[in-house]
Amino acid sequence: MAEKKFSGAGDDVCPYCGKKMRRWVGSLESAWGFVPQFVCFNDECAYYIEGWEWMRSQFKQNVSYRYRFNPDNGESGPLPVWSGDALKDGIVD
Amino acid sequence: MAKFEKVEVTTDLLILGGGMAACGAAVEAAYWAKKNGLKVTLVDKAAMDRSGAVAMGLSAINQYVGLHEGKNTVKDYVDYVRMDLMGIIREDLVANIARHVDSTVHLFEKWGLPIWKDAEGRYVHEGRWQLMINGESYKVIVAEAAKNALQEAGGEYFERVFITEPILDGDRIAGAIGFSTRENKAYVFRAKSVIVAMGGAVHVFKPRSTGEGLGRAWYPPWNSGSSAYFTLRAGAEMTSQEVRFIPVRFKDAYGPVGAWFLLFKSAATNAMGGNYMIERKDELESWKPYGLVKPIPANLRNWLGMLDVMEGKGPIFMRTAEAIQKIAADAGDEKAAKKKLKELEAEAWEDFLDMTISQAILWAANNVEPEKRSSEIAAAEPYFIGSHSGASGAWISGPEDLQNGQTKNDYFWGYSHMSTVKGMFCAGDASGASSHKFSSGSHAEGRICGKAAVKFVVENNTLPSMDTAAVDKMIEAQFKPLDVFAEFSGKTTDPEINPHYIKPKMFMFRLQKIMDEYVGGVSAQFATNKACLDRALELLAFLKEDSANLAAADLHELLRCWENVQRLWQAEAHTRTILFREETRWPGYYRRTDFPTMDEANWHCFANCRWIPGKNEWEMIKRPMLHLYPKAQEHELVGG
Ligand SMILES: Cc1cc2nc3c(=O)[nH]c(=O)nc-3n(C[C@H](O)[C@H](O)[C@H](O)COP(=O)(O)OP(=O)(O)OC[C@H]3O[C@@H](n4cnc5c(N)ncnc54)[C@H](O)[C@@H]3O)c2cc1C
Ligand SMILES: [Zn+2]
Repeated sequence: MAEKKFSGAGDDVCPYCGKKMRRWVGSLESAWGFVPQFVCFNDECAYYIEGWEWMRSQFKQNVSYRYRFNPDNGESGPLPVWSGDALKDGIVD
Repeated sequence: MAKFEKVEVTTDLLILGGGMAACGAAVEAAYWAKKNGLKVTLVDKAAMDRSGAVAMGLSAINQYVGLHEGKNTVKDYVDYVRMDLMGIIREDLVANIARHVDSTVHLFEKWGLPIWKDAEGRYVHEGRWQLMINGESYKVIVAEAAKNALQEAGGEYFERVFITEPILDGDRIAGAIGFSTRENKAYVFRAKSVIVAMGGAVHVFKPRSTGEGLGRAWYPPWNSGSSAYFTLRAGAEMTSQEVRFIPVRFKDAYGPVGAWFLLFKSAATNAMGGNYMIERKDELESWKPYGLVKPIPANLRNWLGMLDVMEGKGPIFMRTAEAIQKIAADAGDEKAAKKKLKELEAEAWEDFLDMTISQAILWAANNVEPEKRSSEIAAAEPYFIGSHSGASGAWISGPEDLQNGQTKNDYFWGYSHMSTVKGMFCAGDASGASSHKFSSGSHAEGRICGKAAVKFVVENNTLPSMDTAAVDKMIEAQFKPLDVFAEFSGKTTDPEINPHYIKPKMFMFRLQKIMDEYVGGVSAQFATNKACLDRALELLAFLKEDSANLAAADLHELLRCWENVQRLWQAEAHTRTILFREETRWPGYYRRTDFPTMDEANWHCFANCRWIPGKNEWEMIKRPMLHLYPKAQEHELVGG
């Protein structure tokens, strides 16, 4: 998978699938601190789909990740999910 | 006195402890020592491979700043810690660790720790600062690197040697004494500089798990306040001794609750089904500005739940069953639901098995099926863990280059992370006012100490003198419990019950009862006041007197005697400092019922203390809380 750079702050399009990302906040207890971020919850997104096999083969973990972008500081990265609808109840838009 | 071989070890730098901070110190010090032809010696009371708080493994590295990747700035981390600790931290120390912690994490990875990454090599973050790891062997990997580094540089390490007292040469540290926990050997370590990294303290307060549950605790039972005792006895100034940590965990086995929130979306609610995080939101206003930040400071989250319990609305349940059933319902058909549940359950149990095995055992033993009924969570008894979300430890110098005109006089004296005792450095749980270091930050702080301590040795390259007669007296006192037992155990038919002595276990129970009832333990709903604290000090004084009559049947009990004497000193420093700070600042850690509110005008400062050797007196000191970074604006704190 080629390295994809995010085009800029405020952008809410997933660089992997081109779909619109959703506004998401972690729970009150979560270490994300309740800050709204963009997360690609597209179940067809290749980044998410390929993540399952990658994590199984590399780390022996039944886990994948979704693309996350923090519009506050332009920082992004993989957000771990243990199931297809994990974290979806944090969607706020 | 019982017969003991006296082993004298002379070294340049002595590292006390073998945990995360000590291993960091060993790696870095070995590197600089080799360059300067110096010798480094490390001493651990246990076996480094599985000693200290990381013994059972961890599933996340809790401090990674991502400076190089531009993820966060040092100031971001300072803001986070400052808010969680209700405004009282040494920003220079937190910043110093934050700017070095990433390289420590990269070392862990180089040494073989599997850190989760996506296919493009980016770390998988559990939260803003947390990296996910396969961490069952975390400590083994970190210890191996430390041992290799020591050996390669011509250094050495001793395992199963328990350190008791510091050796001093005037106002400079000169070494330490200790004893083997396996052989009849007394150790005298002489050194030009000493790094203290013997962890924090557990079992100072009566734990929730008593009786047959004794020994289960959130914090590892083998850290017993050795760092606090050692630094106090050396005459070091201590800070934030009132800032204990109280984790909210599954009741009685202290299993982590995070995965259950995360995986199952379980809510924590009271007996009536109310959610205190929602119902008591307005209470956070009373603790402004800290109450309004996100994430909500750990102690304030505790506080909202405690209010429910105090109103008689407990127990607090983690509603696992409802959450799991909802997931099953959403999964569609029965087969899919079953498969899904199995997967999630495996994840959740794994979370116990790789860091709190006792929780899994307790649930199995009690037929707990989380999919069928809720489990209780509770605020645990207090712990002293300055590297986690508490802040207790020694008052140490910050790095010179981070100081500004205002902080330089108060926060810097010669060497980075050196205590107020010349040549004595402190890291991890042993140093205070720099919370949220966790495993990685403790290792990074150890590395900072390792480098600074070698610099100290190079610039002060003389072996401090040692008063041999005085040290022999200390050794005699160290073994006294064995002599007491030998002399008196025959006087009764049951060696456990004897009018001439007290066994360490009973000593510990008495300490825990005093702390629990008078200094805001679980039974007192974490509340205390001046009258309670005065009474505690009176009872602690009696207990201290009785420490002269401790008895040990063997070396293992001798270790237990010393652990409890050390706990007693941690307890006294804590009690005195809570008494000194006349306000309530961390209501979810403890409350002064005679000063129930926060007092920014008088107490936005450090409450420090010092035991004065020779005089046997305590001194209480206020130190100013000075800023290196502008206070974060409110909109920056709540985000978005
Ligand atoms: C339950 C729990 C969960 C945690 N979870 C995480 C997490 O998920 N992620 C994370 O990054 N951090 C976590 N932490 C924090 C992390 O474990 C600590 O911050 C870190 O271990 C502190 O390092 P230390 O060197 O100060 O103490 P420790 O690592 O505890 O080391 C103390 C050392 O001192 C030795 N010692 C003690 N007394 C003596 C004596 N008298 N003589 C000689 N040696 C002695 C011990 O044997 C040990 O080697 C957790 C801590 C706890 C308790
Ligand atoms: Zn996508």
